[in-house]
Amino acid sequence: MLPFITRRLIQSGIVLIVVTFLSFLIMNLAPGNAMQTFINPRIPPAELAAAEKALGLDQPAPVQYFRWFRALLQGNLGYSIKNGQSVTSLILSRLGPTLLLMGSAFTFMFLLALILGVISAARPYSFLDYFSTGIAFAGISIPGFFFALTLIYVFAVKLHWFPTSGLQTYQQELSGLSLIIDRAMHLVLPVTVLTLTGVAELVRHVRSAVTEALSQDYVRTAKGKGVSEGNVLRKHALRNSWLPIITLIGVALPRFFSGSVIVEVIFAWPGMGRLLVDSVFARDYPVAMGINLFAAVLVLLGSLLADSLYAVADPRVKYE
Amino acid sequence: MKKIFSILSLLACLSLAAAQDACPVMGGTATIAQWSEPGNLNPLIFPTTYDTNIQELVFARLIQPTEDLSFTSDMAESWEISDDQKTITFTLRPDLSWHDGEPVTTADVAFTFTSMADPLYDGGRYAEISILEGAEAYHAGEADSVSGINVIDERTISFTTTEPFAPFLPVIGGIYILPEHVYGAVPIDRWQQDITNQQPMGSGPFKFVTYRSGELIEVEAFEDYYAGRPCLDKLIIRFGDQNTMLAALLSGEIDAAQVPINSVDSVTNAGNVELNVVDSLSFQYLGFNLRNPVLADPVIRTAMAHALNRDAMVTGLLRGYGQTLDTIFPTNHWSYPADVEPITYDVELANQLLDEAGWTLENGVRSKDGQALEFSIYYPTGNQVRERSAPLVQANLKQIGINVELQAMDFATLVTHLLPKDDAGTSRPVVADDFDMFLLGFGIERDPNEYLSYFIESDMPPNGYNFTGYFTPEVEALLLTGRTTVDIDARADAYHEFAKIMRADLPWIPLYQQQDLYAYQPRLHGFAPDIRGVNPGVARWWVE
Repeated sequence: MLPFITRRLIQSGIVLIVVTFLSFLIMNLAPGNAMQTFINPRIPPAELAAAEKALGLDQPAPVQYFRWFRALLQGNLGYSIKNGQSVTSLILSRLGPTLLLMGSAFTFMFLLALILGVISAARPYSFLDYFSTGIAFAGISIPGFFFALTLIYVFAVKLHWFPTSGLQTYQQELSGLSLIIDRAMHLVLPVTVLTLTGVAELVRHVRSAVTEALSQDYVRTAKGKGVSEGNVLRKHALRNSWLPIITLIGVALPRFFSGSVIVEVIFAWPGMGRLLVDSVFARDYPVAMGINLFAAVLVLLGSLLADSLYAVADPRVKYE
Repeated sequence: MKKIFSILSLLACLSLAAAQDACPVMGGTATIAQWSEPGNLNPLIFPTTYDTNIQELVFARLIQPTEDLSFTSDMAESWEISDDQKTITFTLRPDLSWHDGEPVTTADVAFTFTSMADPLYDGGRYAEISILEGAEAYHAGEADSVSGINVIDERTISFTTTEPFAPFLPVIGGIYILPEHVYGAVPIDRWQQDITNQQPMGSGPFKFVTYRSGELIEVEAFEDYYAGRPCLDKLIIRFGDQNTMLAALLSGEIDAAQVPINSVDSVTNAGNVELNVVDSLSFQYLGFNLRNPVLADPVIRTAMAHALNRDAMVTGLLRGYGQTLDTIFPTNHWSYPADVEPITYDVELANQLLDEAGWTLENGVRSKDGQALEFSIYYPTGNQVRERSAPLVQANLKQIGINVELQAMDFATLVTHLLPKDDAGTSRPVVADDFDMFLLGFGIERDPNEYLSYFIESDMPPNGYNFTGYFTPEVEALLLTGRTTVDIDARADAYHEFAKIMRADLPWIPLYQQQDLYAYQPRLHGFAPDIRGVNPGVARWWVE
C-alpha cells in the first residue's frame, strides 16, 4: 500500500504543477489586470503603470507564473493586489467557515442520500421510491441561487424563523452555548440549499448500487436461507454497495468549492468560495491562484483517499 | 479673509456643539451594509469608494466638503490664502488627538503630504499633490524635503503650489491625515502589506475595532473626537451581495443599506423601512472613438443624440429616479450651465440630418460611398441599469438606419480597449480599430478639473484618459482657465462655456443622471446620505 501511495503522491505533484500553470494561463487570457479596477480621473495612467511594474504585472504570463511558482517553493503564496494581505492568511481566515458549512452540508447530504437511496432500492416503485426520486429531480432542477433566494425570502424576511445571512449575529457579544445555537441558526438555510441541491445525484447512485447488489445471487441465497430483510440489506447488499459510494465521496470533495461558491455569495458567508469570486472579479490573481492550488490539492487528496479506501472496503482490492 | 474663515469655523463649532447636545440617545449599535468589501484601509493606497466609506469614519482631514460643495473646517480650524493665490496656511484645532491619545501636530500633516511624493511611494496619489512646489524634485529623489510644505509651528502649516491651482482645496479636502508615529514606522513601499492597511488609526469620529474578512468592519466611538463623541457606541459595516443585504435590511438584521433601483418596490412595499432618495454627481454617457472618420463627423453624432429616447431610459430603467441631462456635467453641480440647449428626442430631425449629409437608407441601413453606418458599442457589466440601456440605444439607433452590435465585457476588459497596450505590454496610443463607441459613467468626485485629462490633446492615451480623442485649442484653454482661476464665478464661466461646446460637439452623448437609493430602519436616526456619500453626519447618528 505504501509504494502505491508514494507513487500516487508523486503523480499528484506533477498534476498540481500542470493544473496551476493552466489556471494561471487561463486567468491571464482575460484582458486587463487588477490595476484597472483602481482607475479614477485623479490617478494618471502613468501611476497605474508604475504600480503594475512594481507588482510585476507588466511581465509576460510565463514569467509571472515562474515568479509565482518560485515563491511557492519557498512557501510564499504572495500578497493580494486588492488589499495587500498575505494570501495564506486570507485563505486560512476563510477556511473555517467553509469547512463548517460544507462539513455540515456533506453530513446531511450523505445521511439523507443513504436513507433515501436504500429505502428506494428496498421498495422499488413504492410511494417512498417515487418520493425520493421526486426530491432528487426537484433538487437537480431548481437552480441553487433561486432556491437560496426563495428560502431567504420565505423563512428569513417573511417568517423570521432564521437569519438571512452571515456567520453569526454581530450586534451582541455571544459565547458558549448561545454562540453555538446562533451559528447553527445561521447554518440552517445555506445547509438546506446545499443538501437538497446536492443530494439528488447521490440518492440515484446509492439507489442503483443497492439495487444492483440486491439482484445478486448471494442475496437471493441469503433470503432463501431465511435471513431477515433488514440483515440482508445491511450485511449483504449495503456492504457490497460501498465501492461505488466511496468513489462518489472522493469525487464529491471538489464540491467543497464549486458548490459553495454561489451559496456563500448569496448568504454572505465568509468562506473561500466567496473569496474566490471576489478575487476573480478584482483580477486579484495571487488570491485566485492560492485558492485554485488549495482546491486542486483537496481534489487530488480526495481521489487518493477514495482509492485507498477501496482496499479497506473490499479485501479483494490490493495495491502492489 | 482669514477673519471670515475663522468666524465661519466658529459658527461651525457652535452648530456642532448644539448638535452634540441634541444627541437624544447616547450609546447603542448601528449596522449598515455595503455591497463590496473594501481593499486598502490606508487612505493613501489606491482608494476606491468602498475603501473611502470606511476611511471617512476613522480618519479626519484638514477641511471637509459641505453639502453645497464648498469647504468647511475639519482638523483645521481656519485657513488663509495668500494674495498671489499660491500659498494656503492652515491652523489646526488646539484639541486634536489620535485614537491612541497622542496629540496631532502639523508634523503629522507634513508627513502625510510628503509621503505622497516619496520616491518609494506607489499608491497612485502622487499626481494630486505634484502641483506642490518642490514635489517633483523630492519625488525624483533630488531633494530632502518638499519645499512647498512648510511647518510653521505645531499648529500652523502652509502649502505652496507652483502656480495658482483652483482645485487645491478639493485636493486637500480629499486627503486624510495619517499619524506619523504609526505610519512613519513602516517603510512606504511596505505600506500595502502592513497591518496598518487592515487596522487603520486616525483622528476621526470612530476608532477602528476589528475587521473580519468577508463579514464586517466594526468601529467604536472615539471619546476624544474634537467635535464631541459620536452618539453611537458602535458602528458595524457588513459586506454582502446587493440582494442579500436588502433581505437583511428588510428582516431587520441591519439598519441601512443602499438599494438597487430594480429592487425599490420591495422597499416601498415592505412598509417597515424608510426610503431615502439622494442626488448624485455622476451620469452615464455614450462615448465615441473620434479616430474613426465616420464617427468624427459631428453630423453623425448629432443625429444619434436626437435619435436616443433618453426620457424612456429615465422612466423605464431608472423608474423615474433620475433625469436626463443636456451636457456632460451633473445638473446639480455649479459647473452645469443653466442655459444649455436641450437635446431633444426627434427622430425626424435625426433622419433629416443624415439624409442631408448624403447617407442613404437601403435595407434598413444607411450608407454613403460604400461605407455603411455599422458600429459596435462596448459596455461594462456590473451596473444593471447601464447594461439594460444598451439594447435601448441599439433599438433607438436602428430607427435612423444605424446598426450597432452590442458587446458586454467586464470593466477591466473594456479598459484594455480604451487604454490599449502593444504586444510587449507597453501602453500605446488609441487607433480607430480599438473601439467605436462605449457606454460609461462619469462623475465629479471632487472638482471639475477632473475633466482636463479627458479632453486635452496631451492627455490622449497612453498619457491620460482622453480615449475619445476629442480636443480643440479653445477647449484646452477653457479647461486650463478652470484649473488656474481661483475666483469661483470666473471659473464657473469657463466650465459653462466648455459645457456648451460639449453640447454642440457631442464627443460624449449624455444619457441620464441616476439618483442613489438608500433604505433604513426607523430606529436609526440622522442617517442622511447626500452627494458626498453615505456617511455625512455619522457622528450624530443615533439609535432607539
